[in-house]
Amino acid sequence: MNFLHVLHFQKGRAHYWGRWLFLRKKIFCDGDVNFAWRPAPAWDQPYSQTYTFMLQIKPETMTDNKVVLPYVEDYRNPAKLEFSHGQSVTNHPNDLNHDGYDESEGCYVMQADKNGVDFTINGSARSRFNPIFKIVNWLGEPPSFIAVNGRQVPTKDHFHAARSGNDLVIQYFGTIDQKTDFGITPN
Amino acid sequence: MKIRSILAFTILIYWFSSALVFSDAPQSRQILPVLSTRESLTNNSVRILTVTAESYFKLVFSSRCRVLAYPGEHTRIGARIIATYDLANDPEQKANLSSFQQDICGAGIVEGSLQLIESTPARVVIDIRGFFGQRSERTETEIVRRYVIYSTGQIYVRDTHSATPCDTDGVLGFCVSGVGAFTPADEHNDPGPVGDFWLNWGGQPPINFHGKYGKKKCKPLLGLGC
Repeated sequence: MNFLHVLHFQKGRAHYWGRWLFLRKKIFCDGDVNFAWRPAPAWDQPYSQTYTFMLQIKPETMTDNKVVLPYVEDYRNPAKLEFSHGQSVTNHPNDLNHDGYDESEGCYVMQADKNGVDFTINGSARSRFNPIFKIVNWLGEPPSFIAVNGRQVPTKDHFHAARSGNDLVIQYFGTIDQKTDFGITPN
Repeated sequence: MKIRSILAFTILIYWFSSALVFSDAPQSRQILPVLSTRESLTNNSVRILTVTAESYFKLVFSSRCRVLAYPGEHTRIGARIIATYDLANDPEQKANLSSFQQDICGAGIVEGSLQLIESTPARVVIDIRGFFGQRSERTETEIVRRYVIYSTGQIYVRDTHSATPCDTDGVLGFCVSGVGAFTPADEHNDPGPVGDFWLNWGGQPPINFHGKYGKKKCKPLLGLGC
């Protein structure tokens, strides 16, 4: 099965695409990034290391770097959202570099105000693929409609929304390649 | 000491390159679309049968955790898998799917697995926790790996290693295999991205494999135990 593997901003930043092969029960992979051979930590010191990466399943169309790089760029350089309602959350525990993007869940983290959230994401410089938004401390049920450039679009066909604990997770189905406004309000 | 280090390194290279490491191929499973049927009658008694292919999600996951320890040294290893999955209109579902631990000596593998079959989840979050060492002696090493899997086939992974000063030599690694179907079935009931996946990130380098422990006198034995 093909997949794209994009390491985020750690040392040895690397991405590759390839196919796992099964040959006599051994595993090979083109462009493998072998985490097992990182330098060992000091033997007598407690330590902690965190790595995040993205995998994209079945990118059969990713036949060369020209196709792959937009996905890499999307993950490593998340958009800076402009809010008219609500605000970006930059101190979320999973946001490793405090840019409002949770690298370990691949989502933009935001806080709603009493009108929900309204923000613009600019995909003209870098395309955004199926972007995911997490609204912390969401009150109420997941919305059945959201506004995309002022047009109400229904769930299932255009986005998926679900509560995750106290948060609301919304994934928009589509590629954002221009300036696009999203409005998410409670039902 | 030098000869011992070279020998240990050679053994380790062999270990990593051999089929002993994560030698199971992922199981292939047939994935079928979830269909619902509804019958209705019109005013003129014409029976209408409506068949709807719903979006669905099926994920079979397994994780293995392996440790190599010195003979004569009992080490606790374990793997725990916890999954949560968010449905569109339901409260968060949680499934504590497996939890394993065992004491081993020599080399050992613990395995956990889970299977989720749900329709229309927004995403699945899977935590896999592996450890070895001895907690009672505060020498436990731990890897926590979180997978966040979205219905579009995007998977985000966070991998956290933590270790206390450890008197246990070993290699801790994970591999994950599975079968996934992530998107709604289309008009042909083709479930979209479906396939086996098999991911292996090895894990940590051998910890304290430097012969710095005066009390350690024995060499690792490949799979022989005590």
